[in-house]
Amino acid sequence: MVYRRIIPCLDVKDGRVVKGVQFEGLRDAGDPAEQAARYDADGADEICFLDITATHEDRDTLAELVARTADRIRVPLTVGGGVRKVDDVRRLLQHGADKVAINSAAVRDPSLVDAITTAVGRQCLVVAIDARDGEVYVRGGREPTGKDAVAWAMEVADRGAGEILLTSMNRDGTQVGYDLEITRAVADAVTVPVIASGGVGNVQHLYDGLVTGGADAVLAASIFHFGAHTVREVRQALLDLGAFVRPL
Amino acid sequence: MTAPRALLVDYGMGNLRSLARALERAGAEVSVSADPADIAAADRVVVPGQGAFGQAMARLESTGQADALRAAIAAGRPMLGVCLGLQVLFEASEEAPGVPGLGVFEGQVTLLPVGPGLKRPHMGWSPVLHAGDHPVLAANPSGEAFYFVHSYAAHGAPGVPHATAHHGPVLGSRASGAVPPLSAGLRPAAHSVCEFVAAVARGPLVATQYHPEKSQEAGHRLLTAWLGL
Repeated sequence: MVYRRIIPCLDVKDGRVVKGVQFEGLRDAGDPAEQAARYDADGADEICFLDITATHEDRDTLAELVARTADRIRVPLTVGGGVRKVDDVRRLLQHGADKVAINSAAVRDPSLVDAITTAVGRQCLVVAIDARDGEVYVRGGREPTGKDAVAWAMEVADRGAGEILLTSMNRDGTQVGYDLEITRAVADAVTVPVIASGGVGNVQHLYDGLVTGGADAVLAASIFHFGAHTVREVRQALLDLGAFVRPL
Repeated sequence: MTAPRALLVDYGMGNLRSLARALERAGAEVSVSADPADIAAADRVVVPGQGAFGQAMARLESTGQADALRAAIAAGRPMLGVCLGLQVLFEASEEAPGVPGLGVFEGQVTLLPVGPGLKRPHMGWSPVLHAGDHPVLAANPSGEAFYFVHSYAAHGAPGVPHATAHHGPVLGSRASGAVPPLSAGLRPAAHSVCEFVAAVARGPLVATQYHPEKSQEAGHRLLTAWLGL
């Protein structure tokens, strides 16, 4: 038996924390390593960085940030954004990431999932799927692919993904809650853990993602930012609701 | 008082960085080496590892590291195995049929099952239940949660103090009210599909399937206790 996980996510741009509403109007919330250490001290089960720009130039910035963060925290760190090849994965792992998330690159070339899994082990690979109305989108939710999200989740799990990070794109940053229907469909379809993401505005949304959506973990950004809720408060509230998260 | 010195064995299986930092936070002076001579000379040896059992054993044997580890264990020097570093201490693994492990502990490593609500890799925090007394296990109460990430798990270690965890369906919600603490009657075994070795400890030889370096305070307490042996 494994407790369901609470994963604060930091959206990172140029080495700084940001969080946009549907990827527009970014706000600066500080140093990611500092924030990550705070989340760790506050009892986060894991921490996630998503580099939302991830241009070629800021690869060094990201690797340096990952190293600085990994040295300070005592929980696993997942890093995603702009990962295109096996070497990108290796580099982030070498700098202290525990898991690396890939998204568009896997859609473009599904065999990349097999290649990464073979090179670094399946437990290090998270495949991120951005879904809108059951369809897979890429390029930060701008480009439809025609792929069915459930079928794609099953394919990447088959190819060796260790975990799936499912983001409801129509809800990301809107704080109206996860898309529970697609979350449940994916969670039931695959035998690897599923992390629900996108659209969290309150604790009830997290509870619904875990219980109604059947997710193994919930990832959220905005709810933890700017001191609105601490991870510890959220954990206690989830426990009070009866969600099976780690008691502290 | 001088800091305890720990040698991390680099056999090309996974990231050593987090474990090195965690050992340092627990007060150790950490070095990293692949050289069997360094293993032979080390006060304390840490065997980390992530990846495949067969590849791990092949590297340990071909480099001479396996022999150095056997000698260190025989000499009663403190050793800590983490994750795959626990699995290689058993006799064999389903992951690599025909490849012998170090065989320090009696038992086999098998693939965890999957099923409705039962996910693999087993990933996340699970309660660890003590089976037998050992000062390093006792650094945390039975039922304390640690971070796991693995698809294979060891079974056995009869007659050796160890701790177990349970692989079972992720629980949804309880019908009403809060989740009680383990001591109040929530029994991991009640939802178990398979029980496996979460940690094993014989004298100064300690191994954990979970990652103490990813387990916040609980992991820190365990590492501190091992460094104090």
